[in-house]
Amino acid sequence: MKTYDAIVVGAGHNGLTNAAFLAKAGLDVVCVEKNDYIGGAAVSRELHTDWIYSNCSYVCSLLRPEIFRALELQKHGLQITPYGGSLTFTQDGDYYGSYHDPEIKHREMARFSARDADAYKHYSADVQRQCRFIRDFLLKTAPDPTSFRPRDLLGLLDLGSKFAEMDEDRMGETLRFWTMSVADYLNEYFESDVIKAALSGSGIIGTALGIHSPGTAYVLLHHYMGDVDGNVGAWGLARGGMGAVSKAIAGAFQSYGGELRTEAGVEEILVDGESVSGVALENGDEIRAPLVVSAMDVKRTFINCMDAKHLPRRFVKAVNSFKSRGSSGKLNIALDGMPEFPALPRGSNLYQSDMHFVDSMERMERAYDDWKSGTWSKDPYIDMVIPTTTDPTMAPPGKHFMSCFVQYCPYEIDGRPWTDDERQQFADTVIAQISNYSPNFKDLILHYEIRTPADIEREIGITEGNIFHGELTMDQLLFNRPVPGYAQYRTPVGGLYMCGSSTHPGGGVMAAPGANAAREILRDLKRGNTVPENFGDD
Amino acid sequence: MTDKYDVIVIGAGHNGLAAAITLADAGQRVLVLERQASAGGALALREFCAGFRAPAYANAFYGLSDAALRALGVSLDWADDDLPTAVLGRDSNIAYTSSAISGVSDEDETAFLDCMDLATALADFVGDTASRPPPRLKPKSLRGKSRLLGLGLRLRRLGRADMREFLRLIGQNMYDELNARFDDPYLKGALGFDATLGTHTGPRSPGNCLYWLNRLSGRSGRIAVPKGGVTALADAMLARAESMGVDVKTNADVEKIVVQNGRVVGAKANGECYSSLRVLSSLGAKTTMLGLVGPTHFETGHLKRVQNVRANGNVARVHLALDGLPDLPASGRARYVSAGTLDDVERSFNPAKYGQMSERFGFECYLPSTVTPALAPEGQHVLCANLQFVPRTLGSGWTGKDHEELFERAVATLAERIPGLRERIIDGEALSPAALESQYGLDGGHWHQAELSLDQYLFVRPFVGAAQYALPLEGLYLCGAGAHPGGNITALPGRLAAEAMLKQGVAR
Repeated sequence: MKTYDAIVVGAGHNGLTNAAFLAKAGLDVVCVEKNDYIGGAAVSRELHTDWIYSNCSYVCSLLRPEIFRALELQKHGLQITPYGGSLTFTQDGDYYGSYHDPEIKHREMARFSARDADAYKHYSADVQRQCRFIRDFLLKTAPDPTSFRPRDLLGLLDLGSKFAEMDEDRMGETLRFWTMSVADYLNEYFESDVIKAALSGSGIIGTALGIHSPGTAYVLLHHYMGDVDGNVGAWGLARGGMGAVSKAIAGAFQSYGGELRTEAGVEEILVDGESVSGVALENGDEIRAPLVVSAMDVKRTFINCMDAKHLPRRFVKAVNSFKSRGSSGKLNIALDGMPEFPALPRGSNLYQSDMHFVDSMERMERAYDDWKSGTWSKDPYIDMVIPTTTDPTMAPPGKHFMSCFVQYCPYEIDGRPWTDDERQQFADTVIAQISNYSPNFKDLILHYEIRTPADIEREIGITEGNIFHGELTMDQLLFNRPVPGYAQYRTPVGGLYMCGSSTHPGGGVMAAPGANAAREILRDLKRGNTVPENFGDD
Repeated sequence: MTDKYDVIVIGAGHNGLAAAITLADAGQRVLVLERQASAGGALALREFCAGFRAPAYANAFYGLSDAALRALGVSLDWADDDLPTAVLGRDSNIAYTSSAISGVSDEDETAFLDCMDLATALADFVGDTASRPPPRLKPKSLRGKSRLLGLGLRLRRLGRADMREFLRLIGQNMYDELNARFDDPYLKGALGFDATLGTHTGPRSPGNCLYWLNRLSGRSGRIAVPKGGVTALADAMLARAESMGVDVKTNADVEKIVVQNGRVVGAKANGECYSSLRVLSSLGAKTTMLGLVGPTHFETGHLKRVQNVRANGNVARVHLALDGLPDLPASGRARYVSAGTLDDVERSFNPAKYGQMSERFGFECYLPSTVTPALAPEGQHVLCANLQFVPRTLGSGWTGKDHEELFERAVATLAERIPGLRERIIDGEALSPAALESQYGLDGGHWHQAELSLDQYLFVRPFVGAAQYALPLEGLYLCGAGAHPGGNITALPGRLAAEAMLKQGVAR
């Protein structure tokens, strides 16, 4: 039986990224995937004849440009096209548009509040400053503040000195920003409820928290990072759907000699003594390697795919308490034509934007209250985008694909599994919400796919369908992610590493966890590093 | 102008008095101006109906360390030093102290003891941090640098395991933490209630674990009541202050802090001016800066920051006069909590976010007359309850009718858990957060005058640039709950503010 240098479990974008950097360093790597297609949650699937669905992730805003370059993803076919801003419909038949052009943006904001239009400049500068601060740490391993190793001390010093580059007031503002709620943060800048509602969405996407929950201002940042790259190309839609991202990374991986194996779900990660020895597949096969990297979420890795006897009890307990709550659902729709939105002027480039239907902070927060009480939001926040307005490859001419990301949608209803009726009612809720602003939308629907967190878990394997492989709350960020003491991609078992979104810096199609894990592995193997550094400041 | 004082302290609550004692100890001539007829603030007695008195809105001490008392030269005799909390519920007879619990399964008992071991170790660190002046984020002086370094070293000294837990817990929420540790829904509900009481957060809100640790700091989780009740502290502090030559003027409602040439020169109360180049205000930052000084004396940046200080009080205070002792475990000599499950507490928080009253309140209550019989006529009793969540801004504002409704709902809630209560009620009152704000000058009707959350903690309390007690106007300082380390009866903000002022040198 062949022994590989490394097995990477899961061919999502992080697994593939990790595998690619390891293969690039000359390791003999196999990447195993349980589905018969690769991509994990960065995937394009033909679920209705001639329609390509980005049926999980749907926009490409966070992918680290350093990784894009290092893996030459353009060469492997990845093309990212910008899209046309964003839009929030208001209940009085109007809409608030957010445009890329700062002049138009200002004019549009001033329709709702002249004061807010002016405040946006300060807001944007402040958020960008926070982004620049955090961006430096995306492609770095989080230092362990409890350690006395020189490496961790230097890492802390690096973090501290970067922090100390700010003046004292800015340092204070940064501390506040990291810990406050997105609603409080926006209240400090803006007065218009519509504008605040429009901006607050980024603070809760994928998060089992409401806009008033402390810590959500940071999540806002997490969604803002792509936007401020100064590189419009980094914020947009992947041509051919999100599967194009995984396909390109897989292309890079294979070009370095890596091997991909689909329909190879891992039953168990095998341990021999203190060290990992390979994986046992669901079909009974075993693959041997002294190095196993799991791109699965931390719960699936250690609870589902390992025997607890190989792990310290405290560690298992910590993994069990790791928060990975499903809070978002999706509705993916094939449309017979472009729906009309009477509120929008004809020819507006906002038809290419991501559209929203919740126009007040109270409606945003109440959507969360529904989730807390164990059901989906009855007045949901929807992030809706029609990628086919910019990418004709995803549907036949004149037809469209619509991706509706829905916040909030629980993993279970009242603590028990979803029934078919409830799934249907969830879809009806989403369709009705959109129909309020587009009367002919319903008639154009040819096919749709309902995705609750339970569906995402079943198909992609993410515990409870949490799109970030675990909440992005302060207790699960940086040196706390996924669990304190194991935040540097290593695990209690020798040769076993983590490289999924459960690790720093967390979820989103960023590919940073996969890359960071590869750097740590190569370091342990005393191999040359193939993982790029941060590009640094603009 | 009348007599000249070195320092004027606004408010004779325990923090105002702590500041006055500390200043007098350093030889300063101090005047304390108090709006109410007696000193004590939250500790002062109010006669809410003929013959029945109760402390305004404090019940017991949990953040008040013996060291803090010693530093002020005040001593108290304890009637109870580890008062049990009894959980009132349909099918619960849980009672816990800082180091024991009854009425739960063996597993939960072990989990509780483990949890309290960890929590008190971490709370000691939190309490230690609370008892020192807050470090600056970017200190220039050697002393400042060593203060910041000291914080880091003390954190390290927790040891690796506890430090990790601390760094995780400060961002964690009680809902998840309690669910990971305990089974009993009512125990979890009660602890979740404890961790949100006095805040504008629900159990699921990240950050309230730190608030809970803060609550356990000072007395390592013990709840204490002195002989003579909580008011004994106010009396002892007042006596100590006056013995040191501090002038305490009650019924002196400060209407204005007088500013000349860009600095504080005194305060005006009841039309009379008192001159002094230093004013320490134990009121909140908003009332002090926007109300008493006036916005024209501050830069826009500072104004914005003070306006953005979050203070949404959610606790209503209820006083009941009873014709006898109601049927309660421990014969009234305990703290009683009824909050239901964690989900009940969370649900009761929801309406507060929208400026509405909860359908069902969680509450804690005490019977102070069991410790201090003099509060009520012989054989009769006083019940004090704190109920959550009641919004500070209700619709277009609190009316008399709203207060009546609040009282009715409060009584209904209490009576549901305390058998025979309703029949014993002679009279009573309900104070909404809005009433606490207008009568006691609490910013936002909030116990802490500024939400005690991570974004308003330590380095940034109450707002960025004002964490060292000095407000952005020469001669003006904050010495109340709005300043580090926040509210509860700790006597720390007052003393630390006075020390900070003294360190800056007493320029004339």
